[in-house]
This record gives sequence, C-alpha cells and structure tokens, in this order.
Amino acid sequence: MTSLILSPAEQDFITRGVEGGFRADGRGSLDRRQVTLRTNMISQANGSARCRMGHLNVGTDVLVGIKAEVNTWTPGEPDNIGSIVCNVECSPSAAQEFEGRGADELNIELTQLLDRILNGPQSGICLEKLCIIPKQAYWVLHIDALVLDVKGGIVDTLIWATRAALLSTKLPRVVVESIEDEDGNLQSEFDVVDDAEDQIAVEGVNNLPLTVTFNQIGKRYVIDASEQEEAATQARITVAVSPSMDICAVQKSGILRGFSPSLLTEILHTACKIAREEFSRFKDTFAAVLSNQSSNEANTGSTFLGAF
Amino acid sequence: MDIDTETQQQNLTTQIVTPGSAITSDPAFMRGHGTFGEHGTIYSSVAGVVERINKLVSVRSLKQRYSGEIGDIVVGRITEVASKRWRVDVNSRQDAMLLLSSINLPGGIQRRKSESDELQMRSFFAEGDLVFAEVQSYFADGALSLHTRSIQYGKLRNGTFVSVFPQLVPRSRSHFHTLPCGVDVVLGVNGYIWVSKHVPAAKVEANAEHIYSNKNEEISETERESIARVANCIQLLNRLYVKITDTTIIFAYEASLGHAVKDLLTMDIATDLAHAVNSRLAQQG
Amino acid sequence: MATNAMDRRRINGPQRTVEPIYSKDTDPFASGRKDSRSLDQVRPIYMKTGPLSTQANDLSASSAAAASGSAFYEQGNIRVSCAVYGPRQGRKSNTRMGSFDCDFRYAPFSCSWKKRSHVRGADEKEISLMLEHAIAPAIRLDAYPKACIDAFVTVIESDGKSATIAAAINCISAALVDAGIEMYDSVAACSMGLWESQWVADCSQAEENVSSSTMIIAYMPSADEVTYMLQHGKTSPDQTDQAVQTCINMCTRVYAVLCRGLQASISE
Repeated sequence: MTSLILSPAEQDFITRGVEGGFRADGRGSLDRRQVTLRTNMISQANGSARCRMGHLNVGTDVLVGIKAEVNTWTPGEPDNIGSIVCNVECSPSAAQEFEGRGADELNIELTQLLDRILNGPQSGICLEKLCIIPKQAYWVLHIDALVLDVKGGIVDTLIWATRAALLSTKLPRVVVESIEDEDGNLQSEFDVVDDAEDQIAVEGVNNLPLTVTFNQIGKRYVIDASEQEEAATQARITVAVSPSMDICAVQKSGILRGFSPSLLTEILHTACKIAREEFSRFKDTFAAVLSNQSSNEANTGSTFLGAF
Repeated sequence: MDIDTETQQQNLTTQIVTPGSAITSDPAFMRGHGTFGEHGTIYSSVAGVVERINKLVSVRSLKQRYSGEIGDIVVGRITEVASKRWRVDVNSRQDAMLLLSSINLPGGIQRRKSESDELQMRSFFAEGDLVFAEVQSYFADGALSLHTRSIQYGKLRNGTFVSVFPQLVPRSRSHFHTLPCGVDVVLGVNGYIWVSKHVPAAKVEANAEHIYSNKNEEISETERESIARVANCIQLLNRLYVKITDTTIIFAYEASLGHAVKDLLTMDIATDLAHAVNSRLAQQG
Repeated sequence: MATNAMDRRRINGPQRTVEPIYSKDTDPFASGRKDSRSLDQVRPIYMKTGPLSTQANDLSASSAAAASGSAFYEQGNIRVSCAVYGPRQGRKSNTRMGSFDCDFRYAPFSCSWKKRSHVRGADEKEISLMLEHAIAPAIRLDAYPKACIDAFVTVIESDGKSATIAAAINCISAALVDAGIEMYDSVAACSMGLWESQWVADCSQAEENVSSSTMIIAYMPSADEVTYMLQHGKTSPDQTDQAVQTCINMCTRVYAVLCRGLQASISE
C-alpha cells in the first residue's frame, strides 16, 4: 500500500522464493509474524486496543478507540436497533505520503471495508441489544481506528485491533422506567448509571470475524506480507471469517492482475483453515493481555508506550 | 554550563550535551559538525556526545541522516532518470547523482560513449534499481556525485535489501564481504545493505556484457536459506543497536545456527543473540 | 433524513428534508420474481457505444465528441453511461506502466434509497476504487507508459446496488473497447444475492433489501481470470464456492452479449 519500488532483480528474488515456499525472511507461505496486543489503555474511551504485527516489535501498528454515545431516534431509521459507525485514518507518522490528503483513498477503502464487516448480521454483534428504548433512543458505537505504522498489510492488524477493542468495550448500564400516562400510553425514560464498576459488555462480540489477507506473488500466494512482499504483490484478496467458520466478506484489490477461478477456490478454503488458527491465537493473546493487565493496574502512566 | 580549560581534557569526551549548551570559549578550538559559534563561544546544536580530536570540537548525535564523504561506499536506489544522469536515493538529505559519464558501459571499459547511450539510459539503470557505487565528489549544492567505474560496482542482483541505521555501519577499508556461509554482503555506509548469493569474481568478469542485466542467477534452497539467515541477523543487529561489520554478522550467524531462520526475528531470541555477539566482541578485545 | 449540507455554489432546497416512509413493504419474492425471471436469469441487456448525444444521428460523427470512447448500458432498469478519456499525458509520470483512474458518480435522482448530494460521497469514492481494481488488470497498461486513462461513469438510474456496480464494470469495458484501448480481454461482471439459502442472480433493489448476502464477480473469460470479487454478508464456505462458480458462468453469458453488442456497433 505504500509506494516502495523494487528493482526487477528484487522482484524476481521474492517471487521465486514465494513460489518455492521460502520467503525472504525465512517464513513459510502461511506463517505469520509476531503479534503484540494491549487493551484499555485509553481511559476516556469505552473500549480501546492497540495491535502490532511485525518482526522485532516493529511492524504494522493500529490503535482503535471506541466511544459509545446515545442517539435520539428520528423517523425513517429502523426503530429497534443501535448502530455502529466506523472510521479509519492513516497517520502521517506511518509513511510520508500519508501527509495532507495523501491517505484519503486508503482511508476510504479501509473505512468501507471495516463498515462492510461490522455493519450487519455477519458481524455477530447484537444490534437489538444496543437499542435503549425503541423509537426513542439507541446506542451508537463510534469505532475510530488510527494507523500508526505500516510495514506491510494493514487490514489484518486493523481487524485484530477492532475485535480486541470491541471485546473489551464496556457500556454503562441503562435503567429504563416506563410509566403509563393519562391516555394509557407508555412513556419511557432512561437513565445512564454512572458507575465504573457497573458496566456491561457489548453482546455478541465473541462472534466478530477475523480477516486473512492473501497476496498473490507469481504463481503462489503468501499471508501477512512484509513491506517488500507487498511491493511485489500483483493482486490481493481479503477474506473475513467468523468463529463459526462462515465467510462474512470477501474483497479483492490490486490493479495488476486477477485470480484464476481454481486459485480463488483454493484461497477460500485455505482462509477457513487459517482463520481457525488465527482465532485460537487471538484467544491466547487476548487472555494473556487480560491477565497481564490485572496485575499491572497501578502503572497507568506507561501502559500506552511501555512494554509494548 | 561552561567548562574551564583545565578540565576539558578529561570531561569533553564523555560529556553529553543538548542543543544550546555551551561547550567552550577557548579560541584555540575549531568548530566541527553539530556545533555553532556565537560571540566567541562554541555551542552545541544537537543532543549528543562531545567529541574532541586535537583541536576540533564536534558533537555527535544519536540519530543522524547520512551525510556523504568522498570515498564512501554506498548502496542507492534509482529514483529518477534525467538527462545524462540518474537521481539516486542514498538515505541522505539530498538525492545523489550518478552521471552517465561515471558508469561503465557494457562490452568493455574502453568503449566510447555514443548518442544512443543517452537515449538508452533505462537499459542501464531504470527506476527502482539498486546500485553499488562510490562517492566521487560533491556538486555545488552539496549533492553527492557517484561513480561505478570498477568491476565490483554496478547493479545489484541475486539477493535482498536491508535498511539499517547509518551510524551502525562504520567506515572501513572494504565494504564488500564474502561470508564463510557463501553469502555476499555489501555494507553501504549510508545504511543500505545488500545480501546476495555469492558469485565468484571470475564469473563476474566473464560476464562483462551483462553487467546491467536484470536476470538473477539460479538460487538453490540452501543458498536462499543462508541469505535469509544473514538478512535476519543484520536486522536484529540493527534493532538491538549493535555495530554492523562483517565480524559481528559472522558472530550473529554462528550464534543463530541453533534456531530456525524465521525465529530470529522474535524479540526474545534476538535479544539473546545480540548479547552473545556483544560478549564475543568483548572477549575479542 | 440527514440535514443536507449547505452547498454555497448551488441554490439549496429546505435544510431538513426526509424521505417518505412507505407503509407496506411487499415481499419481492412472493409468487416468483416481480419481472417473472427465473432465479438464475440476468435482466435483459441493451448496450450502445458512441456518445449519448449522437445516438440517433450518425452524421454528427463521433469525432465531434470530446471523449475517446463512450458507452451507454442498460440492464433492466439500471442505466449507466461511461466516457473514457485517454490515453493522454499522465499526471504522475510513472514510466513503466500507464495508470487507470475511474470516477464513479450517482446522479442525484438515480437511487431509490436516498437523494444523493452533489458532493461525492465516501461510497462513490470506494466504488471508484473497486472499478479500478476490477478493470485495470484487463488493460495492457505496459503498452502506455507515462500515460493515463480516465473513465467517468455516471449512473442515471440504479436498481440494486451490487447490480449497478456490475453494470458499471460492463459499461466501462464497452467504453474502453470503443476508445480503441488495448486490452487483454473485455471484463464482464455479474452480481448475485442470497435469499433463504438460494442464490438469486442480478437482484433488483427490492430483492437486494431482503437478501442476507450479496456477491459481485468480474471475470475475463478468455484469460480465465477473476479480476474482482466482493462478497458481503454471512455465507458458509460451500455457499460461497457455489456462488463463485455460478457467477462465473453468468459472467460468461454476459460477456457473450457484450461481444455481440460491440461487434454490432463496429459493423454500423
């Protein structure tokens, strides 16, 4: 996604390596890089997470913050569900060409992809539970992602961070009171409980999908491409898979070539296999993060930068 | 924080300063890099360590853009093809220039330059190519002028590119090394490094016609693995801030043989290997 | 339903307007499809290349048109027009290959679900990128170094979001051929919707509103390459597989229609 130009000799070296199953950094085609994850570092947000995928603690770095707001229903909107609003921004600290309006196209592409995965029944989130009072008020979850560093392949890291952030999001409890007025109509009012201990998680977040991005280089493909491999990629396809092994979204990108139908079928099947491994890796990493944090509670000053 | 002349001998070399700190007012000293003078006093302009060589006072900062010196060996990437010259990115504040008159033409060194060479510049170097060159001189605006007028310089093939901090590559006599594992390494002083399959010198000379070819040789699986291992070693040396010389690369390579190539880039193993390299260096002297 | 942003360059209507809410939504699949198509039938396609204004009159030759190539494409109620400019001097002078840019726009009156504002929305920008990814692999860009090819697509009438995107892809293919740009193959695209575990071809907007999943595929039959795939909504891997195969077959049929239309335009 960044504009690294490779020499034909480098391109050929990478391509032949990938076709032989041995990448430039020694990984196999389906090996992924190390993942570092931290959650709940932003005290102002209802949920947050930072995920980094890369070698030697340097890699693609995405920070996601979630804020929940109460919105008033207007006629024309569906009357019994909440909503999710996504936004992705690439910071100029990731690459020089992201300054000013340079990242506009990339921002839009990533925002729409995130929206496609999260908005709708395929995300698994129970939008009905986000409704406070039908035809009156509902929760809106604003999901804002900031891409801090890019070292090949933003989408997978983005979805990991979003999933971790949603899993650690806590909404305040809402108390709804209904009183019958003179005409026998039910008038409802709600009250948001201001208690940091009494908060509830968003329902259904365990069903959120994870993505696997396949980069086609030469005749074969790789997963979790490094910067150089991405520069050598001819076509890319992202598959979002839910924990129940359903395919939630598929999107192809890349202007150099397309996929043959047989390769496409192979990729779709491999995606489910890899997703299974990714879900267990996510579970382990997330559990480790939670247990780490419960023992490090006092150290709020350095949670953002330290030990990451 | 002014220091008097007597204690300068001991204190200057280990002193850490920030921009604006006064170093000395002694008129005997000359200002070097990283300093500026005002009203007879030498102040530091960067945050770093004060270095004193005879009468020259300079401040070396931790992170600096590569600034070229004549005679430096560099690896650069062609960014633009202009009239009779190429623009080369050498990780410095300005792109360097490689003039058409500074390269070797295929088919022997003595061939005369013709007009068709000017029109065919992309057949020599095109955008994105990696070139191994030496700094010949400066242009008036401070841009470096490179040349590849020797058989070992020229277009780089058969390998992979690694970028490191420039200050980790010390200037030395030779920047082209053949490691015992059969891998060639080009250590550009500007922080750009090329790791490739070893091609015997005799073969290179025999191929005088094809010095600008983009075709890689056949690379076997073991060679590919060695190249990947060396590249990963260099990356971990860079990340853990160890100087990058052929010695340290060989130490790191030998220490890494117990691990799989891809595991070298995990933080724990990398830290262990860096410790191993540092202790061997200390042992050596 | 949202307040329309003040656009100082235009005469603005009232600030806050909402769409009317229909009291009854009829099931589009009750007793077969509305236009009595079978489940795997694509809507009838009509296509013409050459500038819109000179459709009727052959004397005003296409050389009077500013665009290098253009096409008008209809699929049922979907109407899309495309103009192609190029190859011409590129803005970013990439020397190895030419660049292909696409600009996709809905006309304000074209969509049933919302009056579009004049400012290009994020979804139009994303669809522009999608079209680029779908068509660029088919163009011989290395034959046009330093040049750029621009395609401008306007949706005059839309009936089914995914179907409109597929129609746009077909329209651009035709316009590129009309402009004489070298291509490996024409790109044919088709869309499907998943309704009650059955894949339905070429959904109209009403049908798409009740589908749980949609898929768009763009395919080059001679090269046997899928240049674009977009799937949205929950499906099992087998369903996706099946849909890919079916969609590719439909694309081949659409391709045949495209080619016939192009040949007819040339022989005129």
